[in-house]
Amino acid sequence: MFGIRRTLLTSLVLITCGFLFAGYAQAADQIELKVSVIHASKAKGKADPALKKIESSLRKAFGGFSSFQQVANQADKLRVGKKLDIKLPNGQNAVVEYKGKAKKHHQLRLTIPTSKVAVDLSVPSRKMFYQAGIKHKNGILVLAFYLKD
Amino acid sequence: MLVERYERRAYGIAFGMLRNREDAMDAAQDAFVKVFRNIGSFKGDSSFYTWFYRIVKNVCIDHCRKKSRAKLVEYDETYRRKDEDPGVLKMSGNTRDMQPGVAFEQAELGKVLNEALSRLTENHRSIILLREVEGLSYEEIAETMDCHLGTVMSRLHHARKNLQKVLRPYLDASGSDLSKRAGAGVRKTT
Amino acid sequence: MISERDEELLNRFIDGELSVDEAAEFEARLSASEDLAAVRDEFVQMGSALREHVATELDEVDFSGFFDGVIARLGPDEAPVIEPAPTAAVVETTEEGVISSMKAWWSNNWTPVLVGAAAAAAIAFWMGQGTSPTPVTTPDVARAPAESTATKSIVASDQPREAQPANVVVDAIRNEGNKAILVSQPVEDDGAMVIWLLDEEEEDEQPVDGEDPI
Repeated sequence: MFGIRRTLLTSLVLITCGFLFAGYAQAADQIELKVSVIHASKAKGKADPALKKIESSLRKAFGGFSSFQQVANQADKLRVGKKLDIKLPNGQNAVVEYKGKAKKHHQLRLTIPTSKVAVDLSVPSRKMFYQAGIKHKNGILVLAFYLKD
Repeated sequence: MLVERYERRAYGIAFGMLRNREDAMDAAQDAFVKVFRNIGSFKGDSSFYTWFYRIVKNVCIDHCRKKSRAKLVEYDETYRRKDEDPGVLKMSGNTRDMQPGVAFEQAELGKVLNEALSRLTENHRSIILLREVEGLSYEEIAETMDCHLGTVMSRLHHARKNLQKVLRPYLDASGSDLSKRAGAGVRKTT
Repeated sequence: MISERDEELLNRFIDGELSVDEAAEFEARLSASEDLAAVRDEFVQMGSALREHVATELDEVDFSGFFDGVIARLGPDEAPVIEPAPTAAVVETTEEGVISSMKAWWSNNWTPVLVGAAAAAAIAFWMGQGTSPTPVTTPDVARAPAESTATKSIVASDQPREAQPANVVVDAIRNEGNKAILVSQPVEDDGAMVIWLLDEEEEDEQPVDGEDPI
């Protein structure tokens, strides 16, 4: 009887720890990546309300443009090796691949296939960066990336 | 890489302004230094070339001020390089492999073109090079030089007229291509 | 005699700045005026000669040391990001990294684990009713299996990495297209890095010697 109780208890603890650990293991090699596709132009107008949180940052980085309109918004959880395909309004696409983590920085590869460009980045969690310059309708496309683990 | 892509153009802009190879090389390299140090100020509102051109131009102006020996030539003044004897034709590497007569013609034509460009004002020289060599549209030139479209057209017109006056003896009314002579060194008899 | 208006139109015609209708109309005037056609030919020749001349002048310049000259003028922390990475850059997840990550996880998640252990202990106590408590031993948390990775990361940037910068860092760039890439780091601490992809200006599309391309 006593042996069965001990076995059951140990199993319960093991199962509990197992579940907790599984959650950790899943979280360790996974990030959440948010991407906003923005059309920046010199047209008169305010920034899209959807971009309110980053409007200040956009105006600092792209001071020559007066209008910022969100065209698309994507978010995905990426494990190591997984890619996020971002469709752009001009028919092109951008691809972000999660390469893993090293020393608190997440490694991403940003590729724009039609331009034959690939950029490897080390990105700390909760840090935003932009890719910009693809021309679109009297303005440019700005891709805003935000990553958190 | 950025430097490789733009080094010739940077040098070309600088040489167009300073008319001296060493100064142009210095200025072009300094311009890239400035580009790397101030890249955060590029906001995408103008083309990269426009932004880049202005940096090179400002660096050249600074060079002129510091050195105070390269003059910005006004119309009707003639600027000669101190290291250049106008009586001696400088033979370039490209001409050394040619027959002497042909090489002579090309060197002479190159000298004439250099002379013609040197006779232009800085604005006229810049605008003719931006249009003919860089291939910018009027709108792009206006943005690069920070002037009105009308000013671009007016300056371009005067630049061409002034060049025409100097180059007329070398231009063939029958329509043969001056550029062929610039490349092949064949003199057209008038 | 060529009027000023004709000269203005001639310049715009040569530079492709007339509309289709305007260009067609001006071509008709060129056909009708030998003087105008002669000036057109001279201007076109001048443009071709200039392009050829500048190209020849540039070809005579030795640019082999140009980049080194630029780098020599920059400070050690100002050097540009150098491209490209020769092979695919995949980060190796080291054991040291896994342990430190687990430590970080534990520091954030110790509460639920202890609560779970306490609940298990309470159940054991209730079930045991006076018997000596079964020592609860929490087994060592299994290490995450090391991901099989390819090559080590190739850091092609001159940015200092030892200080674990808080900003995004570009490690490598591969550019096989005709775009120029600029990486603009923020001036302010709360700014964001921008990776610019710039169209190459059409510099080499004009015929250098004035001949028809076909």
